[in-house]
Amino acid sequence: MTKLAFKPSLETFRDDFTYRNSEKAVKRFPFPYPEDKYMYSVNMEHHNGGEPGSVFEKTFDIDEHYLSEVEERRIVLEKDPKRFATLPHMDLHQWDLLELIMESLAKDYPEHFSLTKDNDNWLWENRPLGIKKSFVFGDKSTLPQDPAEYITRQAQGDFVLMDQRDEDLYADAAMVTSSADWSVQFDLGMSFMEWHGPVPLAHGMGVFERALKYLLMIRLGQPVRRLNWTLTINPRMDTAPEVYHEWGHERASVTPENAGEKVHLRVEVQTLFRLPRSNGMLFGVRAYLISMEDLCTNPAWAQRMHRVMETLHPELIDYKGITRYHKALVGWLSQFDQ
Amino acid sequence: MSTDFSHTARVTRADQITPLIKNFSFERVDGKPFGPFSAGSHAVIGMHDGSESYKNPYSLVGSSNNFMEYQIAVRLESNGRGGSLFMHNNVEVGTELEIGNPFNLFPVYKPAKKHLMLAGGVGITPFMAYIDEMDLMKSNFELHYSIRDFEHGAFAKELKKKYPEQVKLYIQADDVIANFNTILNSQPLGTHVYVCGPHQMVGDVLRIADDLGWPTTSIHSEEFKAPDPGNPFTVTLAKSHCEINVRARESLLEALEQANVEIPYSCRGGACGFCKTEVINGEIDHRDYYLTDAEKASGKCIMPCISRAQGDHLTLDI
Repeated sequence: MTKLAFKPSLETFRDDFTYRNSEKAVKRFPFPYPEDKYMYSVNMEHHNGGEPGSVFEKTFDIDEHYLSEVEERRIVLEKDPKRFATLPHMDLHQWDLLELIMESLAKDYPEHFSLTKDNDNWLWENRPLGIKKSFVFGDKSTLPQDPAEYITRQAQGDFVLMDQRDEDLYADAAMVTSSADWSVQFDLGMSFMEWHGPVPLAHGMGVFERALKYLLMIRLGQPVRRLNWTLTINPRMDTAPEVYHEWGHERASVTPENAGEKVHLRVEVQTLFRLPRSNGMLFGVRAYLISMEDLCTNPAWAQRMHRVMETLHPELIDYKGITRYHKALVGWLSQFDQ
Repeated sequence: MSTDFSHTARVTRADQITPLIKNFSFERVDGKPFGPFSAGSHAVIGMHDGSESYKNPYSLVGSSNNFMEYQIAVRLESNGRGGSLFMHNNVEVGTELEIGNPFNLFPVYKPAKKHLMLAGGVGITPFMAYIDEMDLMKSNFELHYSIRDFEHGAFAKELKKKYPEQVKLYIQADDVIANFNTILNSQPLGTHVYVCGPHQMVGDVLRIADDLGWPTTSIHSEEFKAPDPGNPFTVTLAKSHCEINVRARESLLEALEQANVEIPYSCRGGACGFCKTEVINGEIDHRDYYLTDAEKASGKCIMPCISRAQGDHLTLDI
C-alpha cells in the first residue's frame, strides 16, 4: 500500500482555483457511470470496504486534498457560520457522529489520527492539523464548538444528521459547505420527501418511496453507499444557493475550446450509517472533483462520458444546470468517441 | 441484507429479580465491547436446546453507556413456546448464547417536550434505558408503572428511590390502579406517550388516548407478541423446489430456518418488516402489525415470523 501524502501547499477551490489532482488521484477517481446512458436507480451497495487504494476502502476516505478541503470549510464558515445548523433535539446524534468519525479515522489512518478513551475522558489527536484535545464525551462545554461542528471541521465531505421518527427521516442537523446547489438553512428540518422535492422524474418512478423504506431498515454496523454526480464549472466546492452570485455566471464562461479545462465532473460518494445512541442516520456526502481533461486521460471514461452527456434526458440537463454549456461540452468530448 | 450479525456472548450474571423475572447480563466471548445502543432497542437472543432452537427478541435494559455488557430481563411464560422456560431453567452464569445487533422499533421521540411512559409488569424493560437517556439528556419525563406488588415489580424500588418525583407506582395489591384517563387528560402540549405492557393495557391506553383526541403520532407502543401456535400446514418453495412442513407450535419462519432457508429478520413479532415474503398461492392468516390492510387483502405477501396459512398449504416465491 502506498502511503497517504498530502499536497505540500494548500490548494484553493475559489478565486485562483489552484486545486489539481495528482496522477494517483485521477486513477482512483470514482467514475460513476455503469452504462453509456444514464438514468436514476436506487444504486445502493454495502459500505464495508472496497479495493485497496480505492475511495471505498475506508469508512471515511482521506486523500491528498485533506488539508486544502479543511481550509476551504474554514473559509466558508468564517463568511457564513450558518452552514453548520442544528435543531435542539440533535445532541445525541451529534455525539454519535463525533464518535463515528474519530473512531474510523483513528482505526483507518493510525499514523495521522488517534483516539484514547478513559471512560468518558477522551483524548483526540489529529496530527496533520496539529490538534491534541482532551474532552469529556457527552459534555459539550469541554469542546470549542458543538460536537458535530467540531469534528466535521476536521473532515472531508458534508454531513447531514437525520432523526428517525414517524416512519420518516428528518434532516435536523448538518455541516454543509460544499453542496451541489442546495441550502442547509432551507432544507433544515425537512422530511425525506420534502428534501427531495426538486428532483425531476424520480418521484414518478417511485424511487424515493423505495429508497426511504430501505433506509429506515438500515442496521447498526451495516452502512450503505451510492454514487451521485453533477457537473461544476471550475474546481469549486461551495456551489450553494447562498453564494449563487459567485458561481452561477461561470456557466456562461464555457466555450468549445476551454470545456476540457473548465468543466469538472463532481462525484459524490454518499454514505448512510445507522447511529447507535440516537437511532438516527448519518448521510455523508463526500465530493470528488475532476476536470474533463484529466478524466479523458482514461480512454474508456472519455468515450463513456461523451455518450452519457450526448444522451442525457433534457430534464436532467436542466436540473443539473448543464443547459447553457451542454453543446460546447458534448462537442469537446466528441474527439474521444470517433 | 444479511442475517449474520450475531455475536457469541457469555452470561455473566443471572439474577432472579422477581418470582417471574430473571435478569441476565452478557459479555462478548471475544472480549470486545458490544458498543452503544439507543434506548428502546431490542436484541434477538438465539438459544439451542437440544434439537430445538429459539430466537426471541428482548429489550435491552440498563445503561446504553455500558458497552462491555448487555442486559435483558426475561419473564417466565409457562404457557409459552419454550424460549423463556429455557432461559429460566437452563441458562446460568457461563452459558453461551447468540446475540444479534440491536435494532430499535420503539425509539424515543426526540423533539418531544415531555416524555410520559406507561409501563405494566415486564413492560418496564425498555423504559430502563429510556430513563437513563432522559436523565443524561436532562429531558422532562414521567413514569407511571403498574405492578402486582413490590415483590413482582421489577426495578420498582430502585426507580422510586432514584426518581421519587418522576416515578409513580400503582400497586394492585394495595388497590391502587392507574387511571389512564386522568393521566392522559392532564398533560402539557408536546407530550409524547410511550406504553409497554400487557396486551389489554396497551389497548386501553390507545383507546383512551383516541377518545381524548390525542394525535396518533404522539402515542407510541410496543408489545412483543410471540407467535401463537396454529394448525400445521405445508409450504412449497417455488424457486428452490422443495416442500416444508410447519408444525403447530413453530412459526413459518422457524420452519424455514430449520430447512436452512435464510430469511432476514429482526423483531420476530410481526412489527419490523424484515422477513416479508412473497406468496404465490394459498390463503394467509395475517397476524402481523406491519403490512397495510391493502397488502393483507392482496394475499401476495406474508410475515412468516408470526403469520400462518389459513388452510393447509401455501406456495412461497422463494
